[in-house]
Amino acid sequence: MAVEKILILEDDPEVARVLQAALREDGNSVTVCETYEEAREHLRHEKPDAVVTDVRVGEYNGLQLAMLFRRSSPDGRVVVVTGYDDAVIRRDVGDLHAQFLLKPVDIAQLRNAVRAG
Amino acid sequence: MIRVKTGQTNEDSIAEREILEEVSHAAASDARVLITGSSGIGKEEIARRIHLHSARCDGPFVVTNCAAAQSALVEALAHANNGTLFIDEICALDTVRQEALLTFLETAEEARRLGAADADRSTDVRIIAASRRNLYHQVLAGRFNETLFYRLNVIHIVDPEHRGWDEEVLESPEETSPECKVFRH
Repeated sequence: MAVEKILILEDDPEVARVLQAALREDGNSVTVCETYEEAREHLRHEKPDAVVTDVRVGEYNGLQLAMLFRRSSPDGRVVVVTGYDDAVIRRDVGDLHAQFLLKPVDIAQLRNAVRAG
Repeated sequence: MIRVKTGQTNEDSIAEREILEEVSHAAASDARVLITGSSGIGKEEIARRIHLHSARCDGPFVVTNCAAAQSALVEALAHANNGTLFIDEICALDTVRQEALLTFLETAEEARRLGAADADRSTDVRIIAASRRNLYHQVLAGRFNETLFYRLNVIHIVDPEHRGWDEEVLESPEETSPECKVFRH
């Protein structure tokens, strides 16, 4: 399987480490950003195949990164991983045709979601 | 749209371009938007620009100011049906109306989930909110509802000069209108 580039936006370093390790085991190249600004800058220079993002990322909502990603990669895969189960946000994720996973994340589900987008 | 200063520097120009890019991004979607920045960056103009370039451009663009007329919010939501509601000074919204807005968003979501069955009672409004305070700091201080913050803040347009600002209030309150203003284009 070809190496895929995955961008993770997660402001909790421990959660980010777990997500990164799980996705690296599949042979992917995984970059972690802890702030929206850092992730946006990454998108300016790199073209990931998939984005995995939290919702609550300080002053930003991770869905903004997902939308930005989709502008340059309309078929790019997006997985929203959050501890924030909110009907309104779920609808927003659905509008983006993205996968929605609740924390604590089931690693098998995460891998499947990243493949399916 | 964004007020251009005389003697604009390269930094001003870059900042303006960044905001224009965000406006274009926001207009292409129907997501809720939060605009933060000091008085004078033209937050209402940014909101209007998003509305006029969005799929809702044929609907009303309604402006309400929480600092001046909190009670006008419910009326403004009704006026904005099928259009865009610009809520200025969202940081001044009291806790009761923060709850009301949360409930409104939930009800709208429920109506959408149920489809057209409850169409007569549902209101389809895109909300663009603005604040001259750092609303995230208001959340951290317990003065603004965190759930409402993330619901409103799907797209965050920040005046680049004030990214990461620490000030409680950037300057004195903007001149406010006590009324809800409805514009049809």
